[in-house]
Amino acid sequence: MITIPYLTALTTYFSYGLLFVFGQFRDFFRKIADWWLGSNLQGYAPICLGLEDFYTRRLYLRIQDCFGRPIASPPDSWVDLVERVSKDNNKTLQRTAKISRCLNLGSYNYLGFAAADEYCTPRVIESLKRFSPSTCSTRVDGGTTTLHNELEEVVANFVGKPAAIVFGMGYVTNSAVLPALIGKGGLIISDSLNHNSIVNGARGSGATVRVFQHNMPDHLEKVLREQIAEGQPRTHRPWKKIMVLVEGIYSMEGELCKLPEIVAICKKYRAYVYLDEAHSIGAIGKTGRGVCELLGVDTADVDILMGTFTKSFGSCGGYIAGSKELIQYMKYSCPAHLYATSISPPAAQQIISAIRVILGEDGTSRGAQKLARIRENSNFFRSELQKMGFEVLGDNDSPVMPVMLYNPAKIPAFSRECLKNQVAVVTVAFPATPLLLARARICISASHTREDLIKALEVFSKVGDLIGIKYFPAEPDKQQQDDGRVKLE
Amino acid sequence: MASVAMDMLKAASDWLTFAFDAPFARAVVFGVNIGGHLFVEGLLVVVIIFLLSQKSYKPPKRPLTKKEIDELCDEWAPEPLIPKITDDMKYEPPALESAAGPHTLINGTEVINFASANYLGLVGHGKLLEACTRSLEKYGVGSCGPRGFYGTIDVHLDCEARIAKFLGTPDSILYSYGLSTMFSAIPAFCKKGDVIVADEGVHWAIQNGLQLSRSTVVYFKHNDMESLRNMLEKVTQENKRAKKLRRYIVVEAVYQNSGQIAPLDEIVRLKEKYRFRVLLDESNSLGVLGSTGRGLTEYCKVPVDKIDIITAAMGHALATEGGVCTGNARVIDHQYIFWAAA
Repeated sequence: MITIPYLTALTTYFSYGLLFVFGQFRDFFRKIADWWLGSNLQGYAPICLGLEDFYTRRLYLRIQDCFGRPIASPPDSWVDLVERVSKDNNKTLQRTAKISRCLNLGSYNYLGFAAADEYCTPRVIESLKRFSPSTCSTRVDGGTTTLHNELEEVVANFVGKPAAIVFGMGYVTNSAVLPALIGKGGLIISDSLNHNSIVNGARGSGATVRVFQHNMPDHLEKVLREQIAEGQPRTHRPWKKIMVLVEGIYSMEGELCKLPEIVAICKKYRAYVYLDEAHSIGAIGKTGRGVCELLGVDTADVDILMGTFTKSFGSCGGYIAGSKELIQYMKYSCPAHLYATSISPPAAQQIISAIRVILGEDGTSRGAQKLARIRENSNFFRSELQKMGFEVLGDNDSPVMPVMLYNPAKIPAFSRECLKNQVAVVTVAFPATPLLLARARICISASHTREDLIKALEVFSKVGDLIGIKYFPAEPDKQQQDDGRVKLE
Repeated sequence: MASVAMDMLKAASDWLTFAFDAPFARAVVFGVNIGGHLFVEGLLVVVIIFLLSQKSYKPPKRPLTKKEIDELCDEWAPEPLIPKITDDMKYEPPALESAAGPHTLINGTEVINFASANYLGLVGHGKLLEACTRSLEKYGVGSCGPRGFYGTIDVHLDCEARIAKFLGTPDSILYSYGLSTMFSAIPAFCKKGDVIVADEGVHWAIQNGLQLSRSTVVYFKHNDMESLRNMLEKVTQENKRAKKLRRYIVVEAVYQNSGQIAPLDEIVRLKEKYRFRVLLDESNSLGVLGSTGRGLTEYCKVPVDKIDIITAAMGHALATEGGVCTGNARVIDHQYIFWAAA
């Protein structure tokens, strides 16, 4: 729940209104210029009409230099950013040869496996030489190697389920698995702030989709009761199956899911639980096994566990873990398994080695150190930011912390000022977040040292004063002033 | 008989006139002459008001009580999550023990590999392995972020420029997964209300993309140009307001499911006649067809700027993972912005 002060809401609306009016002016002049110069489309309809890409052309392009910044080194705690220049007012950007070394607070490098690692990289190079970068075939047509089978076993053991299946890309895992599990006649109840891949998968499945308020188990129960009593729309037949989709850590809020309550409710009403642990696997929990371990939920109670390897393991791909029958059925019916090239063998080896390091099976205690460090770093950074008066979202222990910006002008200001001071941050605005609630999202890594974090805090404090995003008074214990605020969700 | 009825009628009307002209009925109130008929009218008004004030009959609404909802929830039993496992679901593909080159090891025996799409034999090539090893040591394995948030490495941009130069197009975009190239490219250009004419035999990813785009899709017979011409004719006739309607033809260069090659020069002729844009999937022809491997455009001697969008999954001849989308300048601009902002 984010409360936005009245004055800020008003100024944000005013800014967006002004940008909209200016955009319309420019569109009007563009139309005149086009008519004057004559169109060269020769009878083909234009690719984008009218207001379809208005937001992209008139708002996003103005601040395009804050997004898509290319790097020239691995996305580790310090990264080499390639500087870009624009000769036509941000419409196109060209790379220069200049490089600036910046502190990286934007990459999902939770356990520090992004750069070459002393245990993982030699093994990856060995498997590259043995299996080559790609198998050039789908899993069922000769693309399964012994490495893939080993990977699936290791992942299943790590997560705590009998079996697992691995795909080459995390986004596709959600979009391709949900249609295979549930179809027309089924009901999907998903959290209101779920990621785009889950929303796409739910829509593509053909089932009826209902939404429950973000992280509120009471509302989930209410929706479940209503829907079971009512049945399918129009025919009122009973639902074939009900699936509840939640995430472990919500990437835009940094909050943990209220998993024990939700699992209890789903057990009571016999609904299936699908947990997407993209950001939480490997990053939280005492041994890195994710949100189930942290909140004390038995993995046998969650029917389907899904996760990605891009974040904590420094590789690529996604997995689904469940019972042996479920995985057998997935291998038979999931299109991403039957038609897509299998995951690259060196990437698979990276995941296996990373999991071995986390579990301590490589003979060192680096894994446990990394886990302890990321927890310490996240808690330290969050408490310091709150002391300075920033509005920081998210729960304790979560390595994702969004800092609220609200006004559209503060988005590029924050990004560019931090870049001048050698800190690289990620800012997010509409459409990934609601229109008024633009934020900067900070991802802490286990490879950040205490000095790095202190430097980042100094820069944030300076930039925060300059821009004016310290919405709370800077005090040791957080105090929220309730008068004169508008509640927004 | 008639006279008796007439007499009765006359008597009744006389009586009525008398009643209306009775003394009490000739009151003068406030200077207005009130006749007896006013009483009948007043009575009628009272009856009307009475009827209007009655509530219309609605069956009473009875929402389900908590107890009833509890009972329904207790009774409801879901289907099992997955259907029963049959024997053919238990098939396990053979596990390779070495690279998927022309010869590979399965269970210790060397076999000849006719299953991998390793068309140019680049699996296991020395130069590739060297380059990959160098970049692994420099960059690690993953990019730890999407392209918009510090996941764009300079080698990505170099690769895009190189592919565009190879194919002869202004620019290109890389995707990280071959399957998702087509089913992301199609919804980026085709929205609800657009018309797509696609071949019947296109593979699953394209079919999925067509479904996701929510446009009107018309299929023509597999690789049959006559059928394509008929469909284009039909669609153009049906949609006279063609100015604002975007129209696409979707074909594959070499069909994954049947192995046939699409006659590109025919298709380009038809496209220019009927003003459609062409979306060509060159997954199985990039690096294979044409004297220098540039694909179907070179093979059929069609200039590449006549094709609007070319996509290719790189997991075939190029022996790597991912996909690429390229085309003429306007198309790539739109795709870049849409996908970067998405």
